[in-house]
Amino acid sequence: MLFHIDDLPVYFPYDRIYPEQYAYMCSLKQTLDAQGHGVLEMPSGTGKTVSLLSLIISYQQHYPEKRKLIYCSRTVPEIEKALAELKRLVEYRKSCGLNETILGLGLTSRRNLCLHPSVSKEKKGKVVDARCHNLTAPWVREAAQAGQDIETCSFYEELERGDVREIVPDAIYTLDDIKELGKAKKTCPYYMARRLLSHANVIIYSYHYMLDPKIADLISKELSKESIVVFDEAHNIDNVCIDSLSLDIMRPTLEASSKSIAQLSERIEHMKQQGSEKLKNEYEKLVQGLQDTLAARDEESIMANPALPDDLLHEAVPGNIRKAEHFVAFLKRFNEYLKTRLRVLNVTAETPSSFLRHLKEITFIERKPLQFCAERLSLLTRTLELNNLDDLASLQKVAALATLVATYDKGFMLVLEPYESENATVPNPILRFACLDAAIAIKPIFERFSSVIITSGTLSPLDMYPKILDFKATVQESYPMTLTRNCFLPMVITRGSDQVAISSKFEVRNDPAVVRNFGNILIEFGKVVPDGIVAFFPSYLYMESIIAMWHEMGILTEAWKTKLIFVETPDSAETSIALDNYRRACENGRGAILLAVARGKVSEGIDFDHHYGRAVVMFGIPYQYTESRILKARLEFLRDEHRVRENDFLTFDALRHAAQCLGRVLRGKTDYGLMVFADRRYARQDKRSKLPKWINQYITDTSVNLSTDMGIAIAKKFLRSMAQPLETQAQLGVSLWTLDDVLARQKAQKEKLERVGGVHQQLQQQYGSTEAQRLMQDRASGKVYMDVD
Amino acid sequence: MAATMTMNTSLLDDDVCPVCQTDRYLNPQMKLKVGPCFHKMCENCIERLFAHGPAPCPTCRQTLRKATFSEQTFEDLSVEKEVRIRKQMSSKFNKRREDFKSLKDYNDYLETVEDLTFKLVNEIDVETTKQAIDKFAAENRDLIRINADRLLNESRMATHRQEMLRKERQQQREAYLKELEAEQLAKSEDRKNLIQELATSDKSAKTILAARQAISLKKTSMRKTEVKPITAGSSGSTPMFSDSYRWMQQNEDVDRRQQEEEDDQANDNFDPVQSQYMDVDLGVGYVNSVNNNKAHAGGLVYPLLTSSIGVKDLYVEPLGVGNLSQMAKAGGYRNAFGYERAIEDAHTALYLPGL
Repeated sequence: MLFHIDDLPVYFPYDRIYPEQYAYMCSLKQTLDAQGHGVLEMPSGTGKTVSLLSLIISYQQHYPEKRKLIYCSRTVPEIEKALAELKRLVEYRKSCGLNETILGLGLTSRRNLCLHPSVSKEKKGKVVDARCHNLTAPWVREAAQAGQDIETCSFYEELERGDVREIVPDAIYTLDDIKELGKAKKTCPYYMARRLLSHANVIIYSYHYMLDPKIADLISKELSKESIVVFDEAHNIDNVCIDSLSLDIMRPTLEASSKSIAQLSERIEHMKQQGSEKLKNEYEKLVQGLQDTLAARDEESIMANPALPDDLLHEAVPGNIRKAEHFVAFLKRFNEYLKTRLRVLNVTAETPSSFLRHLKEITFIERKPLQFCAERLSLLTRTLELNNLDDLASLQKVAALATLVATYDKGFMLVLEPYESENATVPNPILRFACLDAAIAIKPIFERFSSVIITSGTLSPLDMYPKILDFKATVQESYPMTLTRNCFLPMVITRGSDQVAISSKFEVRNDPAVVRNFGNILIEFGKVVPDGIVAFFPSYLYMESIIAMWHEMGILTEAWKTKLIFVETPDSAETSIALDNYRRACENGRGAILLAVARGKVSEGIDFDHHYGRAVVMFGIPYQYTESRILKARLEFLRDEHRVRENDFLTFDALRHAAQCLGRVLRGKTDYGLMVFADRRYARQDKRSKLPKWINQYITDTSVNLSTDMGIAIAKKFLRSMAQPLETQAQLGVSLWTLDDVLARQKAQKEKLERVGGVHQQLQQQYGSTEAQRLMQDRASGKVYMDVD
Repeated sequence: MAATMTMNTSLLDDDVCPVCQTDRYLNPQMKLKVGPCFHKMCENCIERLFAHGPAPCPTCRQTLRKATFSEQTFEDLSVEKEVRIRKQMSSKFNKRREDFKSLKDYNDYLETVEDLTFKLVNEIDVETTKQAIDKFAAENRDLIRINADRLLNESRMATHRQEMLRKERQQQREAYLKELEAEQLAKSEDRKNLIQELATSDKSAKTILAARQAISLKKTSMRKTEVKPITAGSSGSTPMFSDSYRWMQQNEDVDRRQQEEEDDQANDNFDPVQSQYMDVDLGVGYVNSVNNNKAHAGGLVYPLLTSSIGVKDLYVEPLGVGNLSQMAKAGGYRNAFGYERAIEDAHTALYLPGL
């Protein structure tokens, strides 16, 4: 359907549209017009991706600037989904008679795209990268061209021969499409995609290409400032930011890097004996300054600087690490220092500056050369023409630590944990370099791109994200869900049938009465709910202990009578088998229960639509493990820097994961399901207020403080009414709009606007212009002052 | 302080004393030490061999003394050796970026130093290298001394800065805890009052609850606006710190002895009492906000809405304390204390258990 928002024609590839999709597009357009950032929360399963794409593509094609769309998603399946949606949209636009050229493509790792007969057989991403590098490094290709007998990649060579733009016509390419094209033209799909990035109108790829400075610098450097950046499924974005700047160093890492250092120095000796000019050339270049070497960087370099581009020093490499042998000695010293640090047997937490001071005291290593460590290492590996870069991974990590610790002072913390768990006796020390501030990694993105949209199904409370990511949002919106029938029923069960309060609070979580009541919920719901039930626990540890207790109590045997039971484990292969069998059990009507963990694989990105999930039960509140030192440090940081209270953040974090888990059950308006919050703490206002608006609006006062038997009675009634066939016709106009509804809505809004304009004028006469404006704003935001007499 | 923590070497694996072949299995308390010739031996052996004065090293026959042995920091003895050489080097080669005209000169200097060190470590042309080092030291004697002073100054500063930061964080933490506590108190007080009101008043429960809700809403919104002054207060210690920074920089080139004397003064400058006093001065916002929260507890703060448009910030009823005279203020007695006292008195009376 085609409709206009303001003056923008929007092509929407379906005949019907949800009201919230329309509202979403309106806010999106506002954000783009204002060239600002936005935080938008939209219920899961209401077609967020398609509305996003259709509005932005319409926007892009309508205005002459043709702002590029960079759409970042989290997992490969989500990227595929978005690409397929984009393809359908562009076909629809074509069928509407629009004559336009849109180049859209997705990018993923070499492992998923490689066509080389032997390299593509490798299973690990790192190995594929390294082997690809062995075949395509400039010196390898030079040597091959000089007639030496060295293997190169024919696909890459083919790409080098021609111009990418000629090989690839403008169209939308899904990941499979680009692979097929590569096969047909015998060119490398990975490099084809990478080289097309700067030409494409739409890019769809993973977060990491944008957020991880090591990769972003190589891939996303040349994207224009005008681009529109969208982070979809962004409820976890702060953790991604933090992970991209955090590092863990363990004993084996240091051993391996020691070995690599020895290798490097051997190689240097070897080169010197051969009288090679290369080391000399490198040295000359460094004397002249780093700029030239920066220019020499090309797309082949695998090791990029872990620091953000804004924080890089653009000056010459310090004199004391200019010579290769000096640098190797320098690395060795630093590595040995880290080894001594790992020998400490008590937990220490310190700031980077205190770490640097101690480092200087002991080893006489200054901050400056340390900062250049990663850059210098990548230069050295290139000069030495090293292959098999995956062997150097540990050393790279050590160099990355050096650079990061010397670059950043605020918002980072070094924590040394000598023992893995609290009651371990054999030390296994880990030095964690932890980033505490999610804003650091994402800051360059907010600064560089004029519009960044953060969107997901669970972003409540909305003001938290601008706070922890430190940006100003021009538009912050959460959309309720319009439904013709209440197709999901959230309920809070606070006590068991025996009136004992249930909670996953630490003090009572292993109390047999609580565990039994949790078990009874499972049994009882197993009896009344058809097909699949998914139950989430706060952690693996807790799940294991509860399952063991259930087994002893005979609860599992009882539950088995009605459903099969599957369990998620930390092992992803095992989990996929469990999921597969769970689906089969649901399909053949046997019905099953899946026991899973919040923050686990199942809770993120696996949908339990229709009969795969008729009920989701969240046992307890999935709080993080609060004794973790890094979490403590982060909480302290948030409190001091962003004025976010510890409890607020913990609750926010727990509830976004709970909402994420429960949101799995509903993937569309024809779907229906139960959402059970099984913990008495959910009944409190401070918890409920942090749930997304669309879930919150359906939590009624009657369903907020239930015991198990009451819950079952309500569930029975709900399921019986939901099982009736649903007429599409009934939804029209309410939760599903045709073009006429959209137009009617626009007309009504226009009238309202005029009316409001009238009021505004009236006020203006009464109070003067600025005062009137303020009053209008207050009215709009629902703030009405009480008159005081 | 960090140094002592990391120097805990009790965890070297597969340690064997090369002299007596004892290992950690036989003697868990064994400590290996390294002499100037970079050969290790355990403490017992050192005691035994060097009990009667200097003796030759059992491995390389170099004459050694007991006092020259020190604990091993690094696993790799070559690094241990390098670091010792660097220590000597750094006492002589301590020029800084400021001593050079351009960055290039400085980098060239760094490289020569590195070259010399490298030669010493790998024992290449030791004699000529040592000569070169001595020459440099003789040429730059004055500069070396000045830079050494600077370095000392800086490290002192850094320690001071760390200390300040630590203090500041602790203060913030305490302020936060206080805030939380006050809030908790206010909540329980509220609840108590509500029950009291429900029990005694003849109004319907619904109207009382509605009135309550309106008040609590106002309070939360007020608390949100109050958050800002605390940040202003906490950053208040930074100017104080930068003052001291300037002060120390001015004194950089002064003779070391004089420096030490003045250091005591510097310490005077940062004595806890004074810093607290200054903090109070700078952090009025913070003190006030805590007080305001306390005032909430008694339900004493009334948002006074003068008209439907303008809202006056806060109106604190004096509660019988009255505005203090100029004299009382000069004595260090502030309004806030008066309120605090009054409220505390009120609370203690409230919570007095019945006899």
